[in-house]
Amino acid sequence: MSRGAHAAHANRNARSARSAGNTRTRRQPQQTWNVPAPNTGDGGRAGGYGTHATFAAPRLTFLNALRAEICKALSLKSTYVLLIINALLLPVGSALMAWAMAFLMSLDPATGTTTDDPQPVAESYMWGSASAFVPTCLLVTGILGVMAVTVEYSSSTIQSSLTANPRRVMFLNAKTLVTAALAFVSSLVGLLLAWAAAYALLSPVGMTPLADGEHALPWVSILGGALLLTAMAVLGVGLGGVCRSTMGGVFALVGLLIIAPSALSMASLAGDRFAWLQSVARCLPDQAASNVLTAGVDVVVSSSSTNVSIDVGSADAIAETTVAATPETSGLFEPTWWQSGLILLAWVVVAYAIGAIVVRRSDVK
Amino acid sequence: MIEIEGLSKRFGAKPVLDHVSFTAEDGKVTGFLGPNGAGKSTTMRAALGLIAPDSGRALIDGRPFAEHRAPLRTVGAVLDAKSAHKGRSAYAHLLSIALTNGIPKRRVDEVMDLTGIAAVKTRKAGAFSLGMSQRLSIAAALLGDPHNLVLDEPINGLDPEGVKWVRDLCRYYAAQGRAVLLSSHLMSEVALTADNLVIIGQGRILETTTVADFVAEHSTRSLRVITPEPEKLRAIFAHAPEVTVTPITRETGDPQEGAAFRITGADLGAAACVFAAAQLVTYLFVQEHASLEEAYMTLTHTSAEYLGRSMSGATQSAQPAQSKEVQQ
Repeated sequence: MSRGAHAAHANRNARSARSAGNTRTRRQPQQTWNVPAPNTGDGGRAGGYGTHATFAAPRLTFLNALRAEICKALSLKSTYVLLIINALLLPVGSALMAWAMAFLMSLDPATGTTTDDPQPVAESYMWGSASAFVPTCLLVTGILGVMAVTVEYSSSTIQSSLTANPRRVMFLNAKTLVTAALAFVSSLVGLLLAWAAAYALLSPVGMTPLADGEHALPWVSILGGALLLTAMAVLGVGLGGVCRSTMGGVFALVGLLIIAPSALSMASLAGDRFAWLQSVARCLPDQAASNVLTAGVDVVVSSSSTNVSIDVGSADAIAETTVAATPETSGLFEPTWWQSGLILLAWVVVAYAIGAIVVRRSDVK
Repeated sequence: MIEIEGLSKRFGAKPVLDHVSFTAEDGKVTGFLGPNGAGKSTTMRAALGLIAPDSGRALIDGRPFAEHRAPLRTVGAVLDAKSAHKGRSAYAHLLSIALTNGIPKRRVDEVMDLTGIAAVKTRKAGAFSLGMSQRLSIAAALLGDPHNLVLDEPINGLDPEGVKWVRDLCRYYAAQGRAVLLSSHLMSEVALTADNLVIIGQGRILETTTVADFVAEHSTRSLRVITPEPEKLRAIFAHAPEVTVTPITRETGDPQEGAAFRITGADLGAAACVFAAAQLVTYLFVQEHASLEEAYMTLTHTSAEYLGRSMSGATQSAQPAQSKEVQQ
């Protein structure tokens, strides 16, 4: 008993000596729950639960918010999974398209047997192959965007996030910028790999160079493809903000990219009276994205998130690089490739604006 | 200082807060007490701008929370024990919060040391027990060495050491002239820690007082007597208007014979002498404190929203019999 009291006394002496000795920054020995907390009657002794580290006055800035979002994004496995899927799916899709074409070109149309002297492919086809899976990957980067927001809400991290940064629009902007940057890098890497894959498979077949007026195609396929995927990530952030639940956000995304186009194309078959629905369908994000990727060149790459199909039966048609399903019906809205780009941009702006308003105004329970 | 001014909020048709006003002063621990669903969490969230009130406002150090330049320096908040993403490591969780306000990495290590979770730095927050998650939440609250602490049931899930640690933490912050708002549904816990007391029930402030006043008002002493001679007992105090003798039901473990009474207003020593002089036979003669918990239960019972049904079915009384759970 008395020994214990002595020890406590000695300890106190040691402490006061230390605090009297120097006030420079020091680290206390590892403090755990068992160490008695500083006595409140200690007369304002420095330390305790406060910081011993000297640092510039903490401040909430956009740059700090950005760094926090980078830390958050890179500390979650789901981010890596989606980015890797995105960066791998693009070259895989490209390789499939290019391989199929190389195979078709090696067939002799007359006999149906393989020849050693394949016909050359148009170079535009290689670029088409490289960006072939961009419409498919819209779903992947879209989910990346949705989840950037919804993981906060589903894990109630949103409370600590908004307590550290109560300016919600700044919070969402920082998050969006980081998500967009990640989506862009992953898409660009994926598309460069896709280009390499298409080149490797098609160069043995031989390629005819790009025609005049097609020189935008390489840029649109690679850089434009990456920007389309990035735009979809931002659209996803908007949807995530509107729904604030992963299930809801992902479903909204699937509805927009898969269900709505299918439903509209089916409905438009119901009769001529509904043909205008095709005009509406062309304004949906996936068709807009596909149209942008053509860069105005008639490339036979029919790929969308709904169907990635290669019409094996009409090898000749493909060789002549004609669009199989050119709409005969006149009077339908046919946006040019850059108009489609503007339509997609409008989608992104509107979805993001609504998402930001909802995030700003909704209660966090 | 946290000033809550006339906050009202409805969730759908259900009023959750009804003109809630109180102040958590600097240098004081303010206990915020109420049954489950009384509106404690909603009030705290409204104070931090997480919930927009229908009317009224909340000011932190004189300004709405969102207007502060360094939110983490202004308020440290524990709103939920499980506040981190399951798949994120404890360290990354704290670092991301710290970065928002430009707080350096070494402060993250420091708060992990303080709350005793340094050993599980890289473990995923999803693998944490409730107590460990609570410590992680507290660590996040301490990151900015804040001027105000808002703690929503911070002791849930903590072991006794942790409970004591939180108590000391609150006292320490208050002693430094900072404001601490501590919510709990346990009177005993708040009575030990807080200076001021705000009691809420069904979204309305029922009482704003200090712990000392609440104790003085509600912890009246009384004597419990079991005697085979009830008439004699009544006769003794028949002419003393300041003393009341009320028959009560016997408690478990009491002698089975005789009648049980509670005597208030009489001093223990004086009563003993009078009983001896009157040769009153007693089987049981003890002094009791009315429990704070009991006083609090009486106050909030009518406004408690989620009442469990009594297990035995026999006890219809609103006040539980364990009045000896006194903690002073």
